[in-house]
Amino acid sequence: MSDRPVWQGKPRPIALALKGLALFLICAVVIFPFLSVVSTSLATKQQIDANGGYVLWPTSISFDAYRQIFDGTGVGRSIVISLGVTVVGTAFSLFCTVLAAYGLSRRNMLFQRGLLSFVLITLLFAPGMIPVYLMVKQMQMLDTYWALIIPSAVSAFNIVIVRGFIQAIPHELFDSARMDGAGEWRIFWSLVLPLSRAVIAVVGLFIAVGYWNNYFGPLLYLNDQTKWPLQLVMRSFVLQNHVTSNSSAQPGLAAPPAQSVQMALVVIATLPILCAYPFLTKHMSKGMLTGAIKG
Amino acid sequence: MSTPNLSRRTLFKGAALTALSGTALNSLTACSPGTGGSTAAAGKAVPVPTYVEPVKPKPQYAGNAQGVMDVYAAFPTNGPTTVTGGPVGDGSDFNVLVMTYGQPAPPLEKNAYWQLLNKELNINVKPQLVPAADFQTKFPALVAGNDLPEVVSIPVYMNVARLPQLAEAQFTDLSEYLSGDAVKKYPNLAGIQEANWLNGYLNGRIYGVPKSDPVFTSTLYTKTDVIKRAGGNPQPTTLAEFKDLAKAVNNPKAGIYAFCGGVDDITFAESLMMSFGVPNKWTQKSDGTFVSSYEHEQFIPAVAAVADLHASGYFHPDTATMSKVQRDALFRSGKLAVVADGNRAMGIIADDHALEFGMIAPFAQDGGKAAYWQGGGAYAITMLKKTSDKKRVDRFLRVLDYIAAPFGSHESFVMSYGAEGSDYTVQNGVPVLTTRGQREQDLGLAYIVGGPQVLCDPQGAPGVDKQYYDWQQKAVPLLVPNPAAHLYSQTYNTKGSSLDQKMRDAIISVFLGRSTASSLKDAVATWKQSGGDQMAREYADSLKKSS
Repeated sequence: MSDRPVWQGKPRPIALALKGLALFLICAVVIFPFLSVVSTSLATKQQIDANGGYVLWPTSISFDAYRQIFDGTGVGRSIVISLGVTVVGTAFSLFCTVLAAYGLSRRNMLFQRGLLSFVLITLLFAPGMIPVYLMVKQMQMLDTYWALIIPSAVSAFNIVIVRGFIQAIPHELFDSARMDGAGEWRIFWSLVLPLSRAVIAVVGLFIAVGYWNNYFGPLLYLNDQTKWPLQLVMRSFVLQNHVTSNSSAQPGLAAPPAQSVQMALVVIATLPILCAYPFLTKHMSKGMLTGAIKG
Repeated sequence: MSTPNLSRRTLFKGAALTALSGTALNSLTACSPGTGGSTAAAGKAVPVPTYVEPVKPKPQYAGNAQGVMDVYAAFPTNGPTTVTGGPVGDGSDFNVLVMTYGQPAPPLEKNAYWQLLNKELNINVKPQLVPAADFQTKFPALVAGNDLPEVVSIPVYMNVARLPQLAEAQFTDLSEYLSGDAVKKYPNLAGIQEANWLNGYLNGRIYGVPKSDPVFTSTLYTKTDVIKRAGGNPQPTTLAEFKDLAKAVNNPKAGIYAFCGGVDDITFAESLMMSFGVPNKWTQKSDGTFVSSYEHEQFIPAVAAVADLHASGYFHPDTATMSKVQRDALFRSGKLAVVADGNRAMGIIADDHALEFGMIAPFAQDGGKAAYWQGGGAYAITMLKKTSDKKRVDRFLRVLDYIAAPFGSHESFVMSYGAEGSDYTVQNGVPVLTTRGQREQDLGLAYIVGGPQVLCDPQGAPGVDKQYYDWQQKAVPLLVPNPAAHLYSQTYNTKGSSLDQKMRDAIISVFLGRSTASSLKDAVATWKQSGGDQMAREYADSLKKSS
């Protein structure tokens, strides 16, 4: 029997094969839905009907669904709105979160324990839908984009994660900065922020995804449909069992099938997150692990 | 007992393709019967608006007052104007809350249909659209914030909690403007029938103007080419013949199944309940008391029959989780032979020229007299926020009068087709909606008011309207009304939805073989104890008060 631990030993072919199979299955579980969504968005009606609703591999590719979506449906506008809300919301939310986390990580801060308890208690008691709606109304934010940003700008969960990360920064660094004459803002900008990039990236991604995927806020607070973000428009396409394009009103003019339009929208809605993710992955593992260890 | 099986696609197709009645909306028939009493009246303290039959063009096939719909080959492009007396509106905003099944329409500046409508109505239509899936979430928030717009349209089947109390507190009593002959000032509203108006009664008075709904509920659609190829009979007249059809067509190796259900869908079971003679939700006994259909002796055997078909392997294996979209695709591609759905709710009729399909006429399981559940008469009611300004009320009713204009009129044509060139083109004398035209109509106004609907589907599958018309001729004589349809039960209003859901779960559980049919006895007993018995008493009380 080898002295080496099991994980350092040369795997047997059967073990390798099983690992390969397991990895393939896991990948398949992740990739197949994506593939199906993309393929269905590019498929023709005949293919979709023949495949019982969803296509795994289109035999002929059609971009009609995408053309249909950007042809006066307001989807283009809703994408701009979603991007705007996500960018502004994420920046604002990160600003609030990191500042709050830094403040709450300082043990010598006035009322630190009380304020921390105040933040933590919001984790236990979520406000109801109607009270939040009434508050948004009282703040005269109904039918404004601020209603999509302000109510969800600060999350106690995110504050706790960032605070934990900041607390892990060695105190000696703060002390030396102070000895060099740095004030709290200087320490925050020149020390805390650069050292917290990983957790800021992770929390920023959480926040951005939250803003990007938010349909409930817009549903409640936006009455003007021209202000609807992409997620609410997409919800109306996907859930409502109707897509105008399914009706080939003009004989001879084949409109793209409803499923294609629905799936094309899903692709469009997923794309920004997919694009942003690779640039954040280098921070993800560090940020997630640090949060996990300290949390 | 059921959730209405509304297909938004078909709903709107009504406006887009099937130019129907005042609002060109055929597929509101997509509703299964509501459970009854949701917005119903606690008696009528004021007379029903007088019915004045609208002037209509001569139909290709004439309908009747019992519910068979008129059939037209095409929408007349030069119909008469029915709304007279100067501009309809006063140039002000018309804020209206509407539940929709569609997507947001293009904004006003890019929407020729919307612009035309504003011009025709002399108002600024400002729709506040709430997706159907979210209506129950958004509506309470709007009520709590006192943010309901001036005009509110509520789907009857939504069973909005404490609607009578809400109406009394926040909406205008329209009785003096609409009751009896007063409605004649608005001739198109006078063309709405009594069964529809009954849905607009709350607290015994008229608060809502109805969007009428055909009398039909769920239907069994057949893929006749598949059935014929398999040597089956697409028109079974007994349960045994129905089973024979399933046996003939079922071919799992080829991926062909006789039937399919769907997520939380008991429409198929309801179709068999009709075949077993189960009453339409409630039965009224001679002493005035009400008995639920769940207590009928054929209720459990009917569900057991569905379970038997399922156990025999005649249902698609994905029945429990299948979405409507998947199911429709399977039906279209010939992988399903029979599907149950709301009337004309399958997106199968109007938009697929190549599709061969049929509808099974209602049949009794033993070959005796068949029964067919009648719908509640209205899809939605539209109300006006409380005002004592008679001019506001008049403006509201004039706008609704325009929207409710009957099939064949100038107003109906505008509502259905919009602006020539951008929204429709005329091909061989037949107006044909453009894709842009279909999309621009998603303002929701087609859902808020309207009289009797017609069948007019010039771009649908050949002969589809005649086929449907023939089916209606067979179904109408078999209509079984729900005696509680227009009675009010506070218990149903507050607890009905959750109680119905529990019964639906119990039925699906038996149907899918997870529970035995006998378990339904316990489910019914619990249902009765949790509120069913109270509902029965309240319906009886409500009936007493109204009579």
